[in-house]
Amino acid sequence: MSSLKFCTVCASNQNRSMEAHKVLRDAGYTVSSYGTGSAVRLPGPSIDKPNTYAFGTAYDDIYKELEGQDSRLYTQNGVLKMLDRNRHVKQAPEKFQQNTKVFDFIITCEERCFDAVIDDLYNRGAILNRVVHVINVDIKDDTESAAVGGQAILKLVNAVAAKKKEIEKDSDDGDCLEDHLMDIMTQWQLEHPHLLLLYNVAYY
Amino acid sequence: MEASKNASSSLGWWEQAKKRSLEDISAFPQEFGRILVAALEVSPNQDTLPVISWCLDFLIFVFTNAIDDSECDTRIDAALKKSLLLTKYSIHENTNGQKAEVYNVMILKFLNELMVRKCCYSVEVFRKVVQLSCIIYNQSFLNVLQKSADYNEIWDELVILKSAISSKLGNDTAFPVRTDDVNDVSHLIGPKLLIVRFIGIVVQSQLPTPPKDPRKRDRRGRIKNDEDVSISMTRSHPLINENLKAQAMGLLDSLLVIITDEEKNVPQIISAIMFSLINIIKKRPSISSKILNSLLNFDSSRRTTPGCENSYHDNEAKILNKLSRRFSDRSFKLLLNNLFKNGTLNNKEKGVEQDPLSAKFYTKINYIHQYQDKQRKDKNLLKDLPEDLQYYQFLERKADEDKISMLLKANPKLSRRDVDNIGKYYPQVSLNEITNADQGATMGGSESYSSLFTLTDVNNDLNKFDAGLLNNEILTKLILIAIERTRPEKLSSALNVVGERYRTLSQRHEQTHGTQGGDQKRIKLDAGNDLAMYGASYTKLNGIDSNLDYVLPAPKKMTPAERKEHLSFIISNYLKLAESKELQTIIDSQNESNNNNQESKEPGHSQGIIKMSKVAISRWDKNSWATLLIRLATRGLNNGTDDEKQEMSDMIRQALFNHFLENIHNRIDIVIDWLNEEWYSEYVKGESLMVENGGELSEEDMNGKIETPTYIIWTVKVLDSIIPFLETKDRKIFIRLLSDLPYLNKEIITKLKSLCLDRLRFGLGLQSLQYLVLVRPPVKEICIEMLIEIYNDVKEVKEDGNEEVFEAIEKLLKKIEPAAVNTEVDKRNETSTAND
Repeated sequence: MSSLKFCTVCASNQNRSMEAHKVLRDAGYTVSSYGTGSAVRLPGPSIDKPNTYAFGTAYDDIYKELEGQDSRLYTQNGVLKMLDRNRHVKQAPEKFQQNTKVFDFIITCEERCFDAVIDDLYNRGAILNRVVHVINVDIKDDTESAAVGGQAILKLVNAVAAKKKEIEKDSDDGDCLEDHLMDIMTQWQLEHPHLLLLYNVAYY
Repeated sequence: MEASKNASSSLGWWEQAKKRSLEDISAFPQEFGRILVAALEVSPNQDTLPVISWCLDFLIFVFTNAIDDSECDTRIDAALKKSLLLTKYSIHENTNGQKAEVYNVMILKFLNELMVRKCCYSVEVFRKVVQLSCIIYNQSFLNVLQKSADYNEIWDELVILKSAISSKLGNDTAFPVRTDDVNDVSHLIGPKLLIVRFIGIVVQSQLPTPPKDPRKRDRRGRIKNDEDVSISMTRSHPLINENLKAQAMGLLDSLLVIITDEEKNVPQIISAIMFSLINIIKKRPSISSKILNSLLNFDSSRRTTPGCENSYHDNEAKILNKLSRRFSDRSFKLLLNNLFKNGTLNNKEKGVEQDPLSAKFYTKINYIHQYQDKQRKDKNLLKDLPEDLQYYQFLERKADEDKISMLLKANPKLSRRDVDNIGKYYPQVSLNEITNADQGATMGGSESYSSLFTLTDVNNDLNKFDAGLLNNEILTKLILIAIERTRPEKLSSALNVVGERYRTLSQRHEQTHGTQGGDQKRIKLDAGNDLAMYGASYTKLNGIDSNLDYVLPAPKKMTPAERKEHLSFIISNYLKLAESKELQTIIDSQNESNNNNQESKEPGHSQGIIKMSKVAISRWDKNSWATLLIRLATRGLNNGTDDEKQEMSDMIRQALFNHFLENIHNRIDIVIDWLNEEWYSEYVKGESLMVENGGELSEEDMNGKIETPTYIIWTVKVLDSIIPFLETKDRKIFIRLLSDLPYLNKEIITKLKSLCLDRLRFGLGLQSLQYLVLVRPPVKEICIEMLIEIYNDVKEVKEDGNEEVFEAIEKLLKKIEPAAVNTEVDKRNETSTAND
């Protein structure tokens, strides 16, 4: 088990960040997940009528409400399946800007979220003086892409955790994880050329 | 001491002490003190490393108020949190009759012990030391500013800590491992990210805050502590003086220098610095202009990525290079966006164009945005964009420069001019060969021509005489006289000596370079064959038949690969000629003397000049090389339909295109000449083909039927590369380019769309379209169609702040196609009437 703490972030903390959250959790990592949007948005009966909920509304409540609304529609478009997965991972979607936890790596799934996370960290004032690495993996917001993206994020996290373990094992070597991050990300990007990376250092 | 006894064996004592301190809130200050005293007694070495690390963790835990509750299964108990806060407070307030500043001095001593007096022994400990220093710096500085007890001692320790940490950013080591690596920012990045943060905190504390609202002062007249600790908090202090400001500026420079002067692109360090700069600019606006001026020089395309300075061809190096640029650019963009948002830079509401600095940054953001947007759309970093090709050219030039400086360093006698001359006169010789040849010479001792022919004693002063100083006539006379007076036996033995030396050197050279690549070997053998052939001809000539006509052996037919190789030599040679300043001087002086001669010549002479005026180059000027290359691409190589010829022409086109990209503002003439030639050449070829197939055709018949695909491809490429960099002031050159392009179609005109939609530069796009409507009737309809299309697009998203663009388009349409706008207005009126 790695000593590193991860979190995954997307817009609504429903699809991409939750898929990655589950994958990383199942692999044994300490992980949390968040959304950076103003509210949780889920597909509605038509494209201009999304279902909107406040962050903090339990996945279970959303599941029951949508099931009551139109069980066939939400089963067909996969929303109920997604919510069912989510309610077995954690209680409710959380907003990144309201969380107080501290992580070593924040993995966002969209450039907009990447910018929002860094902007929020600027505003927090870096009082803990602790480094956090923010990585964006650009993933399309649909079920298939989220599944592919989740596995890709797991590979990235595996590579980072393995390197960290290797360095911890040989503590006298004068080596640190940050010296290897660019190489790890390069290798990962070569294997996943379609999931573009972004990276920035920030402080808590 | 109990603690030191147990230090090496286990962490048990320490954990017990921590447990006791956290269990009983009232006992916490005493327990905290005990742990601190014990920590100072531990002598740092490899065995005590776990204890040192534990102590640092404990102190970080205490001073960050246990905000990090993610590592606990349950949330930290509110009472415990309160006690930790109290402890933090007790560092500068007396608790239980004990002078609390003692803790502050003790912690600083503990840190200095690790940073200066002993050493950290591990990267992790180094990292924690810097992190703890970041955390307690402001509190310690505040204790000094408020003249708390022991403030002199605190200050002394603080000065030592400050200099120890800040010096480790780029040129020192904190522990005895990998000392060779810590001399640059690309190693030990982890701790260095915290050093950057530490420097940011120190800079902020040693620069005055902007004037504050007087209502924030407390009863004693002091400004309330709002976490922004700075020298402004005290008016007269024995330790605070102007030197601190100067020191802060020096520290700030040590960060800025990495952004502007450092050649290496280490995205982590760059983004850490950008993060710190935002805070400094926001909190210390008085120095924002200094920082902004430095930031203007940040350019990721002028930096190399550690680990692949000389290689960018293989996929791994390609991705590493692109990711490094992408990450640094993004950090830069995030910083600028923040400054635009908080008003440090003029945003679009305030009018970016009114402030030249903001306009420059806006252009930079736009460039990064467009480059990254293209990457996002392509979704494949392995594909090279024009921006990447430009970057590779920079890397090539940089690699050459590095090799030259290495060469010059290894050979103090060699001057930069010598190396340039080799490049100028022997363009086919690559720098690698020069460097290798140079290494060979140093390995083999004196292999110079002078040493080969020197027969006098090595110490003879005559050897120092430089015969090159004499002119040729005198030299010839001297040699003739010398040979005449020399005895034949002496001359023959001297020649034997030289011959023998030459043979030995050749053998040695063979041995040294025998194992090298096949290419060099092949060149040598070929040269040998040629010599043998000449030798045979010579013997024949001397032997029997002197009436025979001897011709040089016909050159071998080149393979396609060789032809391409030679073409690339030709291209690079022409490009070097184009940049050569010396050649320009020669051309100028020749032109001048030609002018003088022409003036002095008789009138009948000028007829010959008139006859020659129809050729492409009647007088050599700085762009003549380009004319030759353009003709070579459009006519010289492209006579057949052979793929190879097409490929070679494209090589020249690419080179011309790249040359243009390096300086789009000053090389527009070359591009106009080139594209005109492209179109003309294709048109003429198409015309003759149509005549061949369809007999006599009038000009009207041919119009619009002759296709010029190559011209279109390269015109679109040129526009794609120029449009993102255009500024409003480039109106003249851009409209000139559009007016001088021989043929325009919808595909080309569409390229102006992005310009028309740009909120800053839409004026330039619309002026260009207006110009085309007025003076290029064939494309008038296309331009108007596109304008209407943009008009409709902008209308839909008008609420996003596009009003200015919308109004300008509407105004232009009213002028050139009033019907389009009137219909819209009528429609709007109709709708409003219906609603009424």
